[in-house]
Amino acid sequence: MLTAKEQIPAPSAMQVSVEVAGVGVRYRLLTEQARTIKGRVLSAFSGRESSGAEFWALRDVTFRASSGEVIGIVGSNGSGKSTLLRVISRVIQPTNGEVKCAGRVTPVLDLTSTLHPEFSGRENTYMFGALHGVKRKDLDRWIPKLIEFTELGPFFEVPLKAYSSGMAARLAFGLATQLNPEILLLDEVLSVGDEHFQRKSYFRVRKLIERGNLVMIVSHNMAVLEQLCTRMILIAGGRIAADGLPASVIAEYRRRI
Amino acid sequence: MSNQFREIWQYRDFFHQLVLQQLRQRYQSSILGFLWTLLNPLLTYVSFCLVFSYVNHWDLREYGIYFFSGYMAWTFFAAAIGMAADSIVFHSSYVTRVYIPKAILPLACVAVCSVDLAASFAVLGVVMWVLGAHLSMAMLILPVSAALLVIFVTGVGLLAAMWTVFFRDFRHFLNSILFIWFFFCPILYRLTVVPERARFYFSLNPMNPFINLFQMPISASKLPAASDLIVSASLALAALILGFVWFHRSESRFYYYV
Repeated sequence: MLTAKEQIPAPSAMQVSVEVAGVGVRYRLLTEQARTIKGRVLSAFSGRESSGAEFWALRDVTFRASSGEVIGIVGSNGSGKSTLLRVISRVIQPTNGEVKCAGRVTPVLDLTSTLHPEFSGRENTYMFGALHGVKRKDLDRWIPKLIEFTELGPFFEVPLKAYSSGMAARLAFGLATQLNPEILLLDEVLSVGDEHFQRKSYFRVRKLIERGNLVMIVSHNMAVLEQLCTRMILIAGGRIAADGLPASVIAEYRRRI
Repeated sequence: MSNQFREIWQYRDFFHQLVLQQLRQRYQSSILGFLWTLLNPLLTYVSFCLVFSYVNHWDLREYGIYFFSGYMAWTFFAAAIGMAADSIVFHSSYVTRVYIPKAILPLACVAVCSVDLAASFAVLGVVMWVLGAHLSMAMLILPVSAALLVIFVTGVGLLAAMWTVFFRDFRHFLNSILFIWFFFCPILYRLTVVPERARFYFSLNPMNPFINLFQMPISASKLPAASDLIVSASLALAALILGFVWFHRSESRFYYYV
């Protein structure tokens, strides 16, 4: 296993970190048997445990990350990348092991899913802020910058259902990156919008890094990851297969496929 | 346990936003939409009033007040439990995409329905004026009645939300239960008309003391019996504790079921 300690010293006073220690996540594949009253009653009478099939999405994952690091997470489909981000953002409780985060975690696991189609950009912004612990007065201060960044203009006051998918994605990405996230988790959301906006979001992530935020990115786009990341982690079969400098991890990833 | 409440407190902005969102959705989406939410219970109320005051040989004015007082408590109970039961499955994106203390979702539903309960007191005023009934000092106890019912509903709502996550068919089951339960409550009739041999079973209904807390001050201008206050307060507290403890123990597994 490769390890590297190449860290950009963080210019901000704020120190954030993520510590993942021996984390394992076991999924039970739920069958109808486990989901309905009928199924539970039947399996209770037949004396069989309604366990369904099991599998380990993550096993014995351990690493530490701190301010100023940008960690790219790669691996083939179903290797456990997204599960890892879900564990760090506390959406999933690990079956064993422990995750400790110092700093506010802003997960963007799926671009528009927590945005509400009936509500305007502004209302969704207040909701997003409330979800991620951003104070109302800070929100009001950030909104002009958010409108500028997302280039939504008058659409900011219009219900989301009137947005094009690119506009909704821009709002979601803007919300995630403009509200001063401390620990930012991005799952496959880097290639949002047109080329112009992609370049903008690339520089936005760069700026976050310079400010000393900790960013973790799940992506299949090796070119972007290689440019952005200070470190990469390769996950295979739920375990860390490589952890180190982008070039060497990408080489390892390519060797395996 | 105290951790659980501290966390819910930390997410109070989200709770606030969720309640506002649901209220706005209901009251703002269309003027007619709001009227429909009023019209439906009103039509039920008027037709039940006409039919059952006749069947019960009961003066329509008197019956109108009696029925309304129990019905407003029941409507709040049934609506809040139903909404709470749907809350987690309905807002599944907040369960699978971010971390929140999940109890906030059913709690917000109870809060939204509590606003409706407050509004129904205004409707009560109109009904009393139309039927020529008088206000009484005993009605000063009504905030206590409402508070106890809200606490009870909070506990039951947490349980309903949790069971719906684990057993989707609980939601259908709940509808039938609520429908039957209504007819076993002394809302359309008085408990005294129930045959002697069945009365014991009717008296086991946990909704009885709560309904009395509304009926006595509104329709009889009397304070509710101390026993009703004690029993309903104990039931409310028990439901609240059971609801929070059980909910908290299982909320980490919601992710796999929504």
